[in-house]
Amino acid sequence: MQPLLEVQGLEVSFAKRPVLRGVSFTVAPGETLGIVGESGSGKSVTALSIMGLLSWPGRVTGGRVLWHGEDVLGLPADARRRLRGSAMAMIFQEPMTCLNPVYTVQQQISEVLMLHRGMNKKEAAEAAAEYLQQVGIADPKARLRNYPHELSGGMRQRVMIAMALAGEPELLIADEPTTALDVTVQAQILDLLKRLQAETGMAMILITHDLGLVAENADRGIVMYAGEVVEDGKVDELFTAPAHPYTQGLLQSLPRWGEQQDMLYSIPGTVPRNLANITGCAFAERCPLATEKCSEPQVMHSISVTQTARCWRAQGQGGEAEWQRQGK
Amino acid sequence: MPTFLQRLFQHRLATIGAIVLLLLVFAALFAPWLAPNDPEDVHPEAGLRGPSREFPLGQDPSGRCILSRMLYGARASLSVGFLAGVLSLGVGIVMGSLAGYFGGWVDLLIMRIAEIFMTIPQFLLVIAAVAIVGPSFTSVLVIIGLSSWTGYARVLRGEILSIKQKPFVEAARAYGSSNLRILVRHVLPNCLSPLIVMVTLNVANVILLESSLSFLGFGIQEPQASWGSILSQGRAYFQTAPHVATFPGIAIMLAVLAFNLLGDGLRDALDPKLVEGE
Amino acid sequence: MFKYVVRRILLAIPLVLGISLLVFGLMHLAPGDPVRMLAGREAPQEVIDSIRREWGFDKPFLVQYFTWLGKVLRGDMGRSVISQLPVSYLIKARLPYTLKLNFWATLLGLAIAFPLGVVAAAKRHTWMDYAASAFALVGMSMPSFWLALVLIIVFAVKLGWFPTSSTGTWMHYVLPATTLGLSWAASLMRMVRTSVLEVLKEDYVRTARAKGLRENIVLVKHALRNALIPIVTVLGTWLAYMVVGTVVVETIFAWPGLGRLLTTALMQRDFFLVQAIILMISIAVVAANLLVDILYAAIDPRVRLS
Repeated sequence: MQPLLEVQGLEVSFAKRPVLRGVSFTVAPGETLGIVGESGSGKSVTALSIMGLLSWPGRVTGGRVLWHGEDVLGLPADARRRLRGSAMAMIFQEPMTCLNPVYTVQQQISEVLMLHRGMNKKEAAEAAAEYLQQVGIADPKARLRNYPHELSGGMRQRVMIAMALAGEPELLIADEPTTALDVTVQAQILDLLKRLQAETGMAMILITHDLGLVAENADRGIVMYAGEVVEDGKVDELFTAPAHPYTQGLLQSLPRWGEQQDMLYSIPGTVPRNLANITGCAFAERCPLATEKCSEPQVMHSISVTQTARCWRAQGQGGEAEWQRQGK
Repeated sequence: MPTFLQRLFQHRLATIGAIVLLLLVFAALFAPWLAPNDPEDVHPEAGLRGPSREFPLGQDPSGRCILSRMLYGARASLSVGFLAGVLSLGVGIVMGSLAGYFGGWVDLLIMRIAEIFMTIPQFLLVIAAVAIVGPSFTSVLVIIGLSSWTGYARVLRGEILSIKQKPFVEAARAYGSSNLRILVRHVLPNCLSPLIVMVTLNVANVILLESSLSFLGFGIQEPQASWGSILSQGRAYFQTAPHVATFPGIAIMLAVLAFNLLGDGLRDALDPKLVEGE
Repeated sequence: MFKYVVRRILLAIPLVLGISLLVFGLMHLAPGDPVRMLAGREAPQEVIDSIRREWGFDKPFLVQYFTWLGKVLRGDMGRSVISQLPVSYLIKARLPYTLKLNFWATLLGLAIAFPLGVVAAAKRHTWMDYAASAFALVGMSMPSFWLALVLIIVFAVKLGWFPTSSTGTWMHYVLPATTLGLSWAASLMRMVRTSVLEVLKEDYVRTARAKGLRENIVLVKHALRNALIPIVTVLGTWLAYMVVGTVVVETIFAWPGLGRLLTTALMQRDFFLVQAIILMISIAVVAANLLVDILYAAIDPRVRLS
């Protein structure tokens, strides 16, 4: 089956500084792909590049973004714009600031319906109320008249989701959709996204720094580090047999139920700031297993039909994490 | 500090502004050596004559050398700008500190007064006060200085109010630091950047204001030269002898532009909200 | 909303009183006897005495002030010592000219500043931005009287397209309104640009783009509407700009408005008239700020509630 979205060797720079260094992955229709990484790994930039929302000084410098097999990077700006909000929609991390403070909820949702679905004002108002209902907002008619500042964070994120749904997208990109919300609200929003996905059959890219969210909500996941994909696989593969030391480290730093943990593991060091001069493995300087071989350019190695990792140790084996047994 | 200067001079326009300013200050300081003629020397028979070898920018209605008068005029125009700027900064710091420190009715009173000064258009206040007191270099300078303190006072007051609640001020007090010491050591450094930017832009504004006053005849008086007063002399003749008004006008514009450029650059350099992509 | 408006109006009353006190106090800055100054230099002793009695200048300062305030509240702002006409009459005769000139200047200023400011922000780091910003910087730094002289030399003297002074046809408006409008447009344009740039960084602008809206709709509907909020708050400075410009421009173009009335009054040391003009304009500023506050509440729904 042809993938819905295929990103091939995507490169992005801010001014002259590289931020994405050849990112590739696919999203099949209806599936949920989780993108995990620390801040600065390039997750959000990847999403914005797919949507065509990179702003100055960010620029795509290489690669392709195939939508139903067609490269959208080459599309004229107007054709690209038409895809946004209809074929692919996006919700963001900060529901507090993502809604325009001077327009009512109704105005903001109707805008999408009138633009992409050709509705008139009255039809749009009715449909907007239905979408609010669908995202679980009580008394939708009254909420339509509210301004964003009159709503809670969770409510605003629901409105954002309703706005995204209004274009009937085939792909929803959710960039840290729950990071800014209270813990209880987080779970509600994720459940909502899952339910909506089941109802509409849309695909989803869930961007998060929290590996746990991927485990619970995604079919497949990719792990990003320093502007590259370092591991790609089904969720159970990533969790039971992580092949890249970075994925292993991330996994170790997750708190686990029913296990006595004196201290949560954390990967030493920080994500490199300047990616321009990296030739070998970008994780090498933080990796407990680093050897001389890591300073050579790394390629993705297949571990199974569905799992690949960017580490020479992963070549031809399951990438069993021997260093974990060696202790910290 | 070195990084600040680096940032400032990376700002190309600010650098240009600074250079232009230095040149103008240089011209004002060394006017006696640079001036080709005595600025007071009248040549009634050669009034309004255009630029010549002897008088590079021409002659004013009394036949005086315009270039020489502009060089000396730079002293008046620039020093009114600087001094009034410094005076208003001083008044602003005092008023703002009083309001922020004492709070209560002192604060209320000072902020009401500031509001009054901000509401009456400064130009009207200044021109009327100067006309009443009698126009002179000193009266123009003092009146402008006394009427533009409100911005500084507001910044300082805000800073004091916010800093009053910080724990380190409590700590400094507990160690017996005097209030003045706290003000000088903690408050002023914190609002130095906005104050510096404000002074720079304020000086630009004062130079414009003084030139408008002089142009209307309520500024620095003859025979003392200022750019505005030279220009106002040329006003009556600008259809037949446009050079009299043109050159001092260019000087005023250059000076104000330079201060504005420098102010913009300072603001960018002191308040680096770096546009970086994540 | 109604409460909000009433509160604003009540807050403005002490301000107006403070302004009147300051304006009145100005006259006491004069070296020597304020009455002698108010009466004019050549006034005979009887005139001085009658003014002293009528305005209570033989009483303490506060009594003088309240006497004066009482008269002003009843519409009596004194007589011009030159023409002996009531000050209010003189002002009424000149006001329409100033209003008309300022109206056209404001319109021109808005018509220049908004498109330029928005385009400069939207096309940041392009030649359009640089050109618009250069225009603003030069315009801000140019004294308005000098701009007026240049315009007169070029368009009136050299080209002969427009008259140099006085009023009559629309042709007479062109040069003074342009001078006045351009100076203001320069500073307003910078404000528009900065404000739009700030707003363009906001998340909701990205949301608007993510919806697939056309860029010009994103700009005007989503960015500009929000950018207007800070711009409106500083529109009060518009009057301050116009005042300086009006005084200078009317004097140069011999425009029979309030500005010229003021400079003439100042030259002739006709201080009842000066006092009245300053007071009136200051109150106009208070009124303008009040309007701005109300307009602000109309644009920003967040203000209405509090």
